[in-house]
Formats: sequence, C-alpha cells, structure tokens
Amino acid sequence: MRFLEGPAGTGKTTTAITHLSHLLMNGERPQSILVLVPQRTLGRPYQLALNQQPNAAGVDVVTIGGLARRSLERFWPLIAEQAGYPRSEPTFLTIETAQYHMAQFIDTAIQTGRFDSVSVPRARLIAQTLDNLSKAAINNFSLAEVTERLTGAWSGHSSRHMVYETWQTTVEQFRAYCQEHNLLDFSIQIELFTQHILNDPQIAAHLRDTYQHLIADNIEENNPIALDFIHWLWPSLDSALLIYDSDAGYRIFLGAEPEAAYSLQTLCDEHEALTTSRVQSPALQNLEQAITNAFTNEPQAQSSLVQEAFTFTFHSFYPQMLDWVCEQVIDLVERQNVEPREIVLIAPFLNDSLRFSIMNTLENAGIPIISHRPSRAIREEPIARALLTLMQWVNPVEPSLPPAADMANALEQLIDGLDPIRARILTEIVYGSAGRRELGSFDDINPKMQSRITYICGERYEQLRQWLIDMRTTVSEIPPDHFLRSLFGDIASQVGFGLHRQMDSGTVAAQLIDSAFDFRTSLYPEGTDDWAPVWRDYRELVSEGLLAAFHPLSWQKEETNAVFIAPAYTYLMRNRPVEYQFWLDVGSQAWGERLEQPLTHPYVLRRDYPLHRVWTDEDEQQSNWATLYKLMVGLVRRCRKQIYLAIADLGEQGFEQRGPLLHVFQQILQQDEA
Amino acid sequence: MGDIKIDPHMGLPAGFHFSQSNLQDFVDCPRRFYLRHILNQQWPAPTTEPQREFEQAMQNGERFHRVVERHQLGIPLSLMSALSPLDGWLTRYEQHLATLGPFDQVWAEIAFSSLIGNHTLVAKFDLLALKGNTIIAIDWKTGKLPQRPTLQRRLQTLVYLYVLHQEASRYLGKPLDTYTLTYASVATGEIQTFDYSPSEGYTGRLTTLLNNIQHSAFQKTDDQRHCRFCAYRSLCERGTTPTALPDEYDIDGDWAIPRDTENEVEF
Ligand code: SF4
Repeated sequence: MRFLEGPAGTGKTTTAITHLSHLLMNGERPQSILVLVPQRTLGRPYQLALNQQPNAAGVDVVTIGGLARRSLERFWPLIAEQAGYPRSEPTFLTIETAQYHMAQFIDTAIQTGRFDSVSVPRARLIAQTLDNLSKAAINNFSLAEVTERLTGAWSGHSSRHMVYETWQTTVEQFRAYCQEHNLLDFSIQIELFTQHILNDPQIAAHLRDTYQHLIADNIEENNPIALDFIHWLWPSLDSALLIYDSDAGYRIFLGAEPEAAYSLQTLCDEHEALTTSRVQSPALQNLEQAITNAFTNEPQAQSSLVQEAFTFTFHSFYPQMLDWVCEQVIDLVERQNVEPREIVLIAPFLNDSLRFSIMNTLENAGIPIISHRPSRAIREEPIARALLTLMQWVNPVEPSLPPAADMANALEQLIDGLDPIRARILTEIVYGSAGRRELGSFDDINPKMQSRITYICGERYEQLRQWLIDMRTTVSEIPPDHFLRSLFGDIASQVGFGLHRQMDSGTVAAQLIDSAFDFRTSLYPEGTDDWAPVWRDYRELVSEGLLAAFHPLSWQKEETNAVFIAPAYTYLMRNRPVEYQFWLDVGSQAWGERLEQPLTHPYVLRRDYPLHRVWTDEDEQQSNWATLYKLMVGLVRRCRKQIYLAIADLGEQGFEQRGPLLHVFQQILQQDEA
Repeated sequence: MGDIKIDPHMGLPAGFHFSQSNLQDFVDCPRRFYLRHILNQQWPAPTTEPQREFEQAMQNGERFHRVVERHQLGIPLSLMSALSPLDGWLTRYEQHLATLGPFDQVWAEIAFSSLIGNHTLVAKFDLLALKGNTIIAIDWKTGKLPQRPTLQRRLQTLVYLYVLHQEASRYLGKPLDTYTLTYASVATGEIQTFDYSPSEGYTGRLTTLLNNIQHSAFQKTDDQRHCRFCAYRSLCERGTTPTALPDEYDIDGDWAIPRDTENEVEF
C-alpha cells in the first residue's frame, strides 16, 4: 500500500504505469486491476500504455461516475425495487436530457415568481439546479442539507432564502418524476451507487472479489464519494497505489477535496515523495519560486534566471496583442522549428472572437491549430443550424417555413456552389412565390433570375426541395433523429451538396444526430407508434437552446501535431506539458475570479465547510487568491522552456485592465529590479 | 468526381488495437478501415432502411447480451423476465447452456489481449467456459447463423481462436488441451463449433493481414455489395439510399462497439 506524492512533472504517472505493468507481468489478472481517475482524460496515459502490453485487456480505467453507471447497468434487477424504481430498464440521462426534464419544473417555479430575486437566465437556473444536485450526491448531502448550507452561508438580502427553498421543492418534484419514469441523472446514479450498490451484500462481494489492485491517480482532484469508495474497497485490496499531485486540486469547483485525499496517506504503509521536476528548466523553477514569494508576500532574493523564464510585451489595444501572439507563434514554428504541439495558448475563458481571430491568422500562415471550446452549443454550428432549419419545415407537428434568413443560410450551407448573395435571392423568390407555408419551385422562377442563380444550383435546390416534399409524406412515421440521418446521408452529403466530403461537417452532424437520439430514447426508451410528441418536444428542446454542447475534438485530433488553444483549466486537466505557453490577456480580471452562481456555491457545498458559517467577502477574496496561485503554479510546472505573457492595456471591451495576474507579475518584476 | 485525400503513411492512431471487427472492416473494404479506424471519421448516414428495424435489432441484441451477463453474475433469469421481451431467446440460451455444459467455471463478457508483432489484438468473449481441460468461447448470435464456410472465413473465428490459444492457459494458470469457439444462435437454436488447429496457420494469416494493412493504399472495395449497408456511401460516391439489412449481416459484432462520444456524464 503506497502513497506517492509530488508536484506535476515529477514522473508520478510514469511510476504508476510501471507499477501497472509489473502487476500484469507478475501474472495478476487484468480484471483485478482498477485504475480510478477523476476525469476520463486523465485515464488516457494508462489506456495508451495498456495497449502496448499483452494480456492487458480488462484493466478498468474509470471515473467513479463511470463505475457507478456500469454497476447500475449490471445489477439493476437486484436493487431497482428496494430503491423505489421500476424493475424495467432505466434510462440514463445525459446532461442535455436531464436539463430538458428539469426545465418543466424550473418553469413552474419561475412562474410563481419565487426565483425573481436572482436575475439569472432560465438556462443557467437549470444548469445550477442540476449542479447542486450533483454536489449533494458527491458529498452525500441530503437535499435539505444543501438548502441549509446555502442559507446558512448567505449574508445578503433575506429573499435569497426563499430561492434556496424553491430550489429544494423543485428538485424534489424532479426526483419524484425521475423515479416514476425510471430516469437516472448523474446525481441519482451516484446516490443509488452509494446507498444501494455498495450496500447490497451480493454486489459488494462481487466488487470486492473483482478488484484486488487499485491505482488511484490525481486523488487530489477526485470527489468525496470517490474517496469514500477507496475507503470502502481498502480492506479487501491486495495492493494500492495512491497518487497525489501536491499543488493541484483544480477541480475544487467540481467537488474535489484535496485535503481529504491527502489524509488517505494514513492508510498506506509506504510514503514516497517525488520532487525533481522532469519538465521545468531552472529558470522556470525560479519563476515558480518567485510566484510563491509574491503570494506569500515574502521578499526574498530572486534568482537572476527568473526573467529568462518568461517574455512579455505591453500593447495598447487588444488586437495588437493578438497580432503579437500570432507573430511569436509563427516565429517559433517557422524560424525556430518548434513542433506546433509544443505550443499552447491559454486564456481564462475562451470566447469565440478570440478563438476565431487567432485560429484564422495561424491557419492562414499554414500553422495547424486546434481549439477546445467546452461550452459552445451544437446549435451554434452553421451545419447543425442548416439541418435544423430544414427540419422545421418538414416537422409533422405544425410545420412552418423558417425565417427567410435561416433558410438562406441553410441553402448556402447545403447546396454546393451557392454563395450567400444567391442563397438570399433564391430564398426571397421561392418564399414569395409559394405563399407562406411552401417552398416554391426553381422551375417557376423567371429565366433571368434562374440564370443569375445558375442552373446547376437551381437543379440542386430542386433536388433538395423534392426530397423534402417526399419526406413530408412519411416523416410522421419516423423519429427526428432518423430524419436527420437520412437528410445527411441521402442528400446533404451527396455529390453536389454542401456536406459532400466535408469531414468536419460529418462530425457536427453526427453529434447533432446522437443528441437527438439520446433525447428520443430518454423520452421513449421502448419506442412508440406515434412519433408526433417526440417531434413536438424536440422542436421545443431546440428552440429553448437546450441542445448539447459540441465536442469538436476526438482523441486522435487532440493528439495531432497542432498548436492547442484552450481555457486555462481545460489545459491543466489535459496534464500535457509543453515547451512554450502563451498566457493571453494577462491583465484581465477573469484570471482569478469566480463566475457568479447565485443558486450554488463551490466552497459552501463541501463537507469541510462548517454548516451555518457565513461566507464573507474576505473568504471570497482569499479563495480567489488561492485559486490563482494554484493555477499559476500548475501552468508553470507544465512548461519546459518559456512563457509568453500577452498584455493589452485596454481589454476586448475597451476598458483598462489591471487584473490580479498582472499584479503578481509586476511584483515579480519589481522584486527583480530590487 | 475525384476522391478524398488518403495519407497511407498516417499510421494507426495512438492507443489503437486490432479486433475482429476492425480487421473484418479491412478485409471487406480497406477504405472503410481507413475512414473508420485511422481517421475516426464520423459519417452519420443511415446504414440500412428502415432504420428503426436495424436499431431495434441492435437494441435487442444489446439487451440480450446484458441479460446474459447478469445471469452469469448470479442474477436469476426470473428477476429479469420483466425486463426483457426476449423470452424465446432466453429459453434457447438456457437450452444451449444445458447442451454445452455443465462447466467447471465460467466468465462472462471477458476480454483478452495478445501481442502480434508490435500490435495488440483484442478479443472480447461473450462467455468463456472451462470444461475439464477444454476452454470454450461461446459467442451468442441473435440472428440466423451463416453457412459454416462463411463462419469459417470470418475474421472473428481466426481472431478468437488465436487469442484464446495465446492467452487462456496463462489466464487460467493451467495447461489446456482444446480451444473451442462455439457460435450459438438464440434465434434459431443452431450451433457451430470450431476447434483451434495449428494447421490453420493463424499467426501467419494474421501477420500477413497486419502487414497488408501497414502497406495498404486503402482503396475502395471492388465488391460493391459491401457498400449497400455502409455509412460512407456518400463519401465514396457509392450510392444514395441504403438497402435492407442482408441476412448475413453480423449484428452481434456491432452492438458492443461504443459510440464515438461517450455518454457517461462527468462531474
Ligand atoms: S462505401 Fe463502399 S467503398 Fe466506401 S467505405 Fe463503404 S464499403 Fe468501402
């Protein structure tokens, strides 16, 4: 039983992979090994290593959520009834389908006016409501305790108390609905896992017999339930290796409990600390020390190497700053022969304009770049919008012609060779010629206009229109996802149409269709003879903006040789050191500031936060400061050569910028001068 | 109309392993292998029409395999009857177990991996059963079994017998005499059995196949029958609408393939 700790880059995961290989080589059955990680991405190094090894299939590399879900799938008949659920197969909700079901209860609460005192858009109310449920589950809090904690910590206007009570009533209604309809969202899965799966003697014996060896990596990022599970499994284990990153704990917002994780060392009989970084240069090690000094306000002699670790320039305006970043990246790749994958561009949040502007410039310079955008809804993708626009017209329940601008955009996307101007003209004509509900025919357009739109585009339009008209006669017999699949395969991706051989469009369409499939199967797991309600509900889902987020990056793409642009925490949780980091918009307040979330609270909804203790402004300041420190050190530890600081006096919105990150660097520079 | 750009030197993605289903893809159509397993290209066109029939067949297959796994974990079938409309299948499943058993020990849904050259080859068995010194891999089929020569040619037969022979004895920690693969249809009650036989030259055949993959230009198949129920038809300009599912389509080889985007919710 071994506890291994050390900062990032000291070879902890490499040590664990060697340990895993030894277990396998010593003849341990792969099925007896459990690798527990807080997030799937952190399991990737293990999966890669396992694929290089014989007789390694069957090692479980999972998150606690994955283990909970799999156990429920396997053992459902044993626990369903005692947990108060029907014995038929349950439906596992995705984030999107959970939001959809939750929306009806939130709407009722909004109508009563009980959420009026928090001015939060509906979609965020839904998200925060579910977030609280998840936090309750991973901490093993009752719903009442969540309310009590939030109420006790609140020091503002008393109207907030009613908001928290309303939250509780709403989620109780949601839970009762889920129970009746056999729906399991993430929080219910976790609760059933801890309260029923682990307490059922037959299942508990099976799990304890199966897993003889545990490797738990990044335990500092894992949530209390995962740590409880380690305690639960401990007595029956033959070996365990627990790995703790001593200065991480980035997932505190998602319930990580680094202190509780650290206390697991008392269970181990061996304790090893790795300290030598295999990543950082001496200059970066000095920078890390300088950052620590700045945060602890300890003026100490600073090595002259510190300034070698980073380079920076001040720009008056935001666009100049972005130009500078691109110039430096181009210089590194083209003149200094740096591999693109060795460069990462990091921002506190990654908005579209920032992403587009940098990606365009670098792509135009022939430098491959990939981005990670966790929060963009799939509906924002032009291809997805185009497919959904056509769907609106064939919807068997109250079909309607979409707004002309949407239709023009859809035609432009889906008809090869049709430019935006022709698409607009074509739409205006075919909308005008056929009344409000029909798409007019190209054949009815006057020849002069036909020739302007071009006959080839007209022919394609006609083919698409005819396909849609034919579809309308049968579409009520199929669900929306089947329609989308046919629209993609039978026409939109065929020769002459916009998605033909457009590989990225295939990815967008696939995710749209998968999400429509998940939606339909969560409503009708057994299918139905009447698809009309599904069409109606799907339309509602789309119009309410509850469509899933789009995940543009597969593993393969993420591992290609390209510059990576990502929000800071996304990059940290990828845990992939690089030679060069660019920190964008260093003056921004967003570095080291928490998003306002009136319905939930990352610190108050933790086990170690005292019940009824008021959360003060000072607490907020201190926690922001501590978070920024962890973030900076985490980034520095994942850099091999140099950090580029991109600073603009005026931010994107034109305001002067003096954020906390900039302040820290100013302190370091002053210290250096001193 | 030209073709998509193929980069034969792209190599297999990191973490890739070979399996019966991706090798079968290569044998059926090298281009499909390239698109699906090297590019990991999603292309959500319907594979068959009516889509609902295919989907239901997949769902039933998945459900059946789940029930069998549960049963092998010790959950009585009686507890699951309410869960499953597949009573006929379950009756035949029990008959098959009675005919093929009794067994000394069984393992449900277990995967073995083996190295061949520098590559990993994985086989996931529905049920492994030990009977004396014989290890039997049982593969449940929810459709009609193809003719024996067709089954014999399937990559599944080659891969499963190879991996079973390489790994089972080590796994069990004891020498074995016979390695058997049994296909058992729960739809029709048919059974076909294949024993490992050194004269079949498994290693040589697999090595040649892997070699061919490494030197392939990933051309489209000449046998356009494979295109009829392939999602990449529009990409390859091999037709517009899909056809009905042919009898020989191995639906049970597909149900266990995970979707590209995992559905597990993370927090
Ligand atoms: S459509 Fe035909 S040629 Fe193209 S990948 Fe599929 S089977 Fe191969």
